[in-house]
Amino acid sequence: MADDLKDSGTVTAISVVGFIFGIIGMLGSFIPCLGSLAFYIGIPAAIISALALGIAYSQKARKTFAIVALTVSCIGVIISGWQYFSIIAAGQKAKEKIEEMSRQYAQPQPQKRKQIMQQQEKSGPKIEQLPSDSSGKNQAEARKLFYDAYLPLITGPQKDIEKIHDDEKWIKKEILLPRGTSNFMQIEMHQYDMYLLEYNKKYRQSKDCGKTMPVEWEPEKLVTGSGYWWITTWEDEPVDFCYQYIFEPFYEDTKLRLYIPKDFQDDFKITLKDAEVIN
Amino acid sequence: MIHIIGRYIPDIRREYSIVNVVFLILLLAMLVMPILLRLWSGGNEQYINSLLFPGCFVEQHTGHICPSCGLTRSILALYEGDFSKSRFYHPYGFLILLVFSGELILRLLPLIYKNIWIPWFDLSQMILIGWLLKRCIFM
Repeated sequence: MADDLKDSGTVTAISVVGFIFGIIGMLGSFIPCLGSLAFYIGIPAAIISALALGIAYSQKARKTFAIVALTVSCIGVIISGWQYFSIIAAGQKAKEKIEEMSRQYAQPQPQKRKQIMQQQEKSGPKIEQLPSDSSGKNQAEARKLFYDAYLPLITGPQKDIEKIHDDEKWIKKEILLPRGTSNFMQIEMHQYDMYLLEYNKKYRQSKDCGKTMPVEWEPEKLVTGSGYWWITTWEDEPVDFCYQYIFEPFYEDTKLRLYIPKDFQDDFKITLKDAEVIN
Repeated sequence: MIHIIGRYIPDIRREYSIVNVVFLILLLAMLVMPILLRLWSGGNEQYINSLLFPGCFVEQHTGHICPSCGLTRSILALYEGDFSKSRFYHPYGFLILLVFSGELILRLLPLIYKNIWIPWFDLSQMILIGWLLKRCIFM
């Protein structure tokens, strides 16, 4: 084929560059995360390949490789472009879903704050009371437990935390998080309470359930990898704490371990959606 | 029959030999990259990806974890011989490493054999494997 056409060094060089970027763009577009970025490699590759083809026509040189490079680049652009726009669309859907979830759990957003303050003025200091049987009475014991047992655990080697797995002073709750679901957990407790959360994948967290600040559903970026442990801080002002979490295991159903001190278990109010306590 | 069809197959051997060498270098770089990132980041696993990649596009837009998140750390764990850690970071890290290693070996094919079909075979298998990975792992 095309044996009568001459070889052109320029066409070959430009075609090779176009082909390499084109195939990287095409193969990259198969990967979900980088695939959308392949869009930006594929387009220059297609332009370079088209340029090579144009030069080949003008010089009456062999066009074979330039055509191959252009084809590969164009396929890459189409696949990655399709992926890029589907991610954007999925982002919009996710945003709507999160907004819906926020509404569902009645998180007071800034625009609702005035209304809530008015309600608080009418009905007392709190809208929703925590279980009252232990409010305040455990504070001294909790503080002691914190300094004696908890602090050495979180400041020592992480494997030391395994010691509490069978410790009778802690109640262990195993929570099953089905894959492909936005598992929701809300923990309400007193200021002096503490809990440990053993979960080793990424998750999203909302501090204070939007009571004092707007809820930000930004994904946590630096909590993937090794086990993550959380403790509430000590404040002088008596406030109740509220945390919301979203866990989204991707590949398989995952277990979350939640440890709460046995003596203070009545302080906690835990709400789950989709997730399920199995133990 | 193959010989007859072969006469009509575009001959891209000369150009493809250059492409093949570039792929060889790129594959080697991809296999060595996790080690370099590890050295660069001083062993901080959470910092590794932020050094090279601009952050996960999927996570930024959807808030969901991307199916390819954790691959670099998974492959790095394999280099350290820790299979369970590798599986923890990404269940298919070993498969990706196998595919990359296989592709590296396949780069020898166009260097050894000069058949007109070789570039087309190589190109087809790359696209097929890429597509299979997408279908089987990333979907």
